[in-house]
Amino acid sequence: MQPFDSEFFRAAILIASPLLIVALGELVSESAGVINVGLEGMMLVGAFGGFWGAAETHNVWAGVAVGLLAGVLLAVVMAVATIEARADQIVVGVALNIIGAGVSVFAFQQYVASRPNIFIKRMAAMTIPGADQLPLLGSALFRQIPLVYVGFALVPLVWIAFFRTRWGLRIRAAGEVPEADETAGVSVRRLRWEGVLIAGALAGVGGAFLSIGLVGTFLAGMTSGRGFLALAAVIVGGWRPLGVFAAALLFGGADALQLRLQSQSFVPRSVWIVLAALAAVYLVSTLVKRRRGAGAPAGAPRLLTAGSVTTVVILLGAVVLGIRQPHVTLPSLLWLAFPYALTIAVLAGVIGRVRQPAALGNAFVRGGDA
Amino acid sequence: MSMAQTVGSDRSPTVPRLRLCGITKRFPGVVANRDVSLEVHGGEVLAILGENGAGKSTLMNVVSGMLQPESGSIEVDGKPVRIRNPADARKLGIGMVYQHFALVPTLTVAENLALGASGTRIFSNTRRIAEQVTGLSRAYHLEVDPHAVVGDLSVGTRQRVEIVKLLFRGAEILIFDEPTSVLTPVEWHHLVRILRNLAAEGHSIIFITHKLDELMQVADRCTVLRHGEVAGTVSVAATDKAQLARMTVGREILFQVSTKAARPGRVVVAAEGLTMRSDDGRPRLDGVSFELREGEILGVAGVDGNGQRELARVLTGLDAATGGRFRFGDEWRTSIQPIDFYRRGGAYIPEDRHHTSVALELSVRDNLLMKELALGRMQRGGVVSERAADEYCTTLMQEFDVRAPSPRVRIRQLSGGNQQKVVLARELSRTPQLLIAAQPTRGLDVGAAEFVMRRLVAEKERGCAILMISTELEEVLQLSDRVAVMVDGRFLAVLDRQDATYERLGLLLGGEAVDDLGGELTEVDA
Amino acid sequence: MNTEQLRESVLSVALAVAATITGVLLSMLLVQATGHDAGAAARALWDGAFGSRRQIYLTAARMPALILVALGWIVAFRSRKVNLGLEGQVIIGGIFATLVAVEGPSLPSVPAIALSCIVAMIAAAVYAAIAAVLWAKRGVNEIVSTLMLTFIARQIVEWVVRGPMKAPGKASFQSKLIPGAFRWPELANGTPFSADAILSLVAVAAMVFLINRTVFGFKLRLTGENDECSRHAGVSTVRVVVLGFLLSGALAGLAGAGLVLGGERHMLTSGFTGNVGFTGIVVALVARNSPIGSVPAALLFAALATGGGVMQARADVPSEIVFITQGVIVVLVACSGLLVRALHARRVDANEDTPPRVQPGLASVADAT
Repeated sequence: MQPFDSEFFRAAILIASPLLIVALGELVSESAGVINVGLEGMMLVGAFGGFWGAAETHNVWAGVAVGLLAGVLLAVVMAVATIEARADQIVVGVALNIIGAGVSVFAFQQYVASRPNIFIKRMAAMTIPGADQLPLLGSALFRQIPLVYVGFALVPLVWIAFFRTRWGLRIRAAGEVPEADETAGVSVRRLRWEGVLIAGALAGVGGAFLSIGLVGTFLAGMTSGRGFLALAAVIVGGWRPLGVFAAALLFGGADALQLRLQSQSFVPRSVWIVLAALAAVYLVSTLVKRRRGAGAPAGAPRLLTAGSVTTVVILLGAVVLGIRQPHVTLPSLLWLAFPYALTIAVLAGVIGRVRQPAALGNAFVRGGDA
Repeated sequence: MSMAQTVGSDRSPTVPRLRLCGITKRFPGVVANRDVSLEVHGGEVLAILGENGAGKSTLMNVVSGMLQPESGSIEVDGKPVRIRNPADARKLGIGMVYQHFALVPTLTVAENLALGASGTRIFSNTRRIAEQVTGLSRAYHLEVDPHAVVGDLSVGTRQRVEIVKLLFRGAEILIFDEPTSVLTPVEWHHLVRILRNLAAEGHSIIFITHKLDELMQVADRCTVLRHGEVAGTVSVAATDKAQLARMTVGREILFQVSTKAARPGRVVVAAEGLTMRSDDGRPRLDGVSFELREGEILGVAGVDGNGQRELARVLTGLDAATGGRFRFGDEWRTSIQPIDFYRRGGAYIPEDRHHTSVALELSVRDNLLMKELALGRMQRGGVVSERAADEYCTTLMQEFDVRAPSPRVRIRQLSGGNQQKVVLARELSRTPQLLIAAQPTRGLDVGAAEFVMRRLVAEKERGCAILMISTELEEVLQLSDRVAVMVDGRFLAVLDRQDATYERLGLLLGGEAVDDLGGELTEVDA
Repeated sequence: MNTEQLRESVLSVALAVAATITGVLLSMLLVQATGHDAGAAARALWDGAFGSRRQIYLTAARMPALILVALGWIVAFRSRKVNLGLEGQVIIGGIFATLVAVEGPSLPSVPAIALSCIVAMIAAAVYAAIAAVLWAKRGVNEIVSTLMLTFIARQIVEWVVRGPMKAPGKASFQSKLIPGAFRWPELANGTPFSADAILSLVAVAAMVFLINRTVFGFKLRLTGENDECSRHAGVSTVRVVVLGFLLSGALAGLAGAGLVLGGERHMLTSGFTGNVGFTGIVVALVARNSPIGSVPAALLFAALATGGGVMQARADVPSEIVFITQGVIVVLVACSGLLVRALHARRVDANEDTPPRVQPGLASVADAT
């Protein structure tokens, strides 16, 4: 079913992976109470760090390590400013994006000025023999670069850390009721440092993923908003590891779709069907949830009407699609905007049902400020 | 395994468990504690009594490692110690139950304990902890379910979770910071029993309070703080309330606000079956009906969190009712915009000063002006009329004795009493027909509280209808013409002043446990 | 203004100046460390920014857009809304200003410019409204939505200069030239320094008045300081916030219009903003959200931008060093807030006979932010 073939799924997962890695890091940081708007900048230094490391050592893994360290370096600035000096988290994040953009390009220009013919080899795919021959998803899941597997492995890792370890309980407390940690003699400061550094490290790896895994070189501004997409993925994922996983896949899928459709003369029917199906699934799940949590009879009837109207519209649309092929064309440049528009739409659909950590964004002072 | 074994039995009984010598703690612009010394022994309940602002909480934050004193020393079991952070305090067996509990509402009881568990285990063993909770809970009659999610628990239960938490961490010196404003009388008696139990097992209890009655019931000795200094330490058996009150305030208090009997006029506000459900479907307000007339004060007595806050918020338009209706003016409705509430002559003193009634970072002037400007006054063509506004502020600050160097200082920089005077001035400046006053004296020292109460009575005598919500029974009894008892979002009873006695209210607030309480009450009093 | 506030302002300014000097020194250190001659770089930077009459005008010409964007950030931030997508709104403003100029009626100069600017402001405000309404109705985080809208706007401008608005017969991707009547009059002959500079200063004065003297400004401040308190006082907070956000977008749109109607090139290209939508935010942050402060801050960043270009050309130092400088200054200014806060944590009525209520401990943790 064009364009949803196995190549699409392989691309979707490949594109989703750096997003996933970065978003999981941000999840840890936000759970600890620090919102990091500077992911984009951290990814950029990670991307350059990865390029530099790989070019110098001819080893992609060394590159990943350098990218990680570069991300951590910016994260240290973030931690010192927001945790120690209690600066506004968003302001510092904005500044880090600027610094990251500046440092990465500055360093890149310095580096290539002396070595005009520098290049790196992209990380090679690792095939799991046999499994990659499975139809549709085989190559998507089992013929990818190792960093993709790293991203997927991080999901259960973060999940276990969050819900099964003492550290996870403490991290979650630091973002909800930091006093609970502090009065237990657990340092909120330290937990938040850990959260911020983890976010920086994973953002660095995510950046290195772009330069080493996806593109094979460093480009100025090559993150093109992925840091912010990761931020959105944490919100859409409802501050839960599995939710973040799903959100990253969704955004990855949108980007892969966009890449496909850019070159098409018009939007294939299957795309419309998938969009309608997604909308229907979303609606049904919303309705089910609303009815199940039906403690509020006062508001329910109105919502039902709004929901059912939309459902009918979507069904009608689907019927029309069955009869007539819609001839919609979009300039390829506008297709590039599709993932961003989808992000906004998903945020609008999801929010109101998720709760952010209660102490997110608040500086913590032991014993109060008096 | 016996959890309730006697603690510290190997220590010498003559050496105090905890001893503070000459503690001094300053904040910018103010000395919170000056040269404070006190001691508490094993098996003893020591009360620390003082007005709001006397420095009690600061002192205990020093003991629990949240704050560092400028000078003074601390000894535990006769050995000098340094408490640099809460972890140090914990190692020394010091634990504190805060007014605002330090529990994560999204986690279960066992998980809340697990996050503070010591040792180097990586994985949280909540099952083992749950067993320990059950054991401790049984040993001390705490009735805590380890698997309950904290957010679902009542305030009284959360307090017991805090106690379990401290015991679980091996605390032997337990500090309670004003633990009772959130408790029903029944829960209070439960707490008294728990505290006496803990003391009997050899624990040391420090009980911070500003309420004399409570102290007399639970404490062995009492240290009185005044203006950040120790005014004296007495044995509870050898003193009486009058003496303690004198020590607390430093002068004779004849705290009687005289109020004439009401001559109620027409009905100003009425409610029929007012109901409000929260998002999870639980009723916060459950079928409240009442009428309030000109020139009377209807007191709403109740323990925090029984729907008083929601009642005030629905009537003033901050939240909408989900059922029932109310009337302010002529038409019945289920909701009102805040601005319409004020337009109709409403005034509102919210309970939560720092989060609702004032904007801390704005000036005194801005805080005085906010409702005038929202009402479209003191302005011309959308521009603030500076001169009219200045005049308004100066007059009000004089009339209400707001002590601030200038109307332009941030209201954060004023004391609680002065902040509340600003709120009072703002609300009363409109000569309202209806005043909803929630916890109007909370957190104020005696002088400021008295000022507020006198103004409320004056307003009533002018003809204003007042709905006064308070957790302090004395205050309700002193001011109200009628008293509504609020439990679980309902008005359990509306009593006339002569029928409303302290004992009767106490019993009503206990809800269904009224019957088996009778004997216990007298027992504790005796 | 009482002495307390005076002291606070002086401290703020002093800290901002110190942060700037530190930021520049650190960058020069980096320049030296990467094997360049920092002295030469600094000289080139200075010459580029202020070295000649022409350079001074070039620097000054960059200021209006920065100031307007900074004002846009400030007005939204007064109600605690983070409009990180000003860049997108600048782009939309620029597109629509160009559209009016090249496709619209031929008009005499003053109404022509006015029409073009007003359309740009409305268009950008509508674009900002997407984020504002999604926040008001659906609670969508405005940081993410405005940024997404910025990325979308970038694709839109990329598309229009290649497609619908492309100047016929030109090899490069650009719009038709702006007709003379629609160009901001030059204030200094032959330089891009034009009359929109005056407009931006008027806007600063208007913003100061709006925030400090008008009822709307009061409501904006109150809502930003304490949303719950504002609602309790009878303010329709959602309306106030949305209006503030629209105004923010409109100011960005005006900045965008100025970039095509003023400036040197008088046309729309895909990169016509030169990132002022982000640099303007930095200007506001360094000015600590003061409208007046954003004028010297804009001068600083305009100087860095013009100087950075010359530095790259003359001393071969990548002009990205300027970004690093900017970011470092912002971080330092943000951190110095601790000192300013300490000043107003002080109590002022401690001379009563009853001691003031200090509220240490957990109860005040939430206030300490």
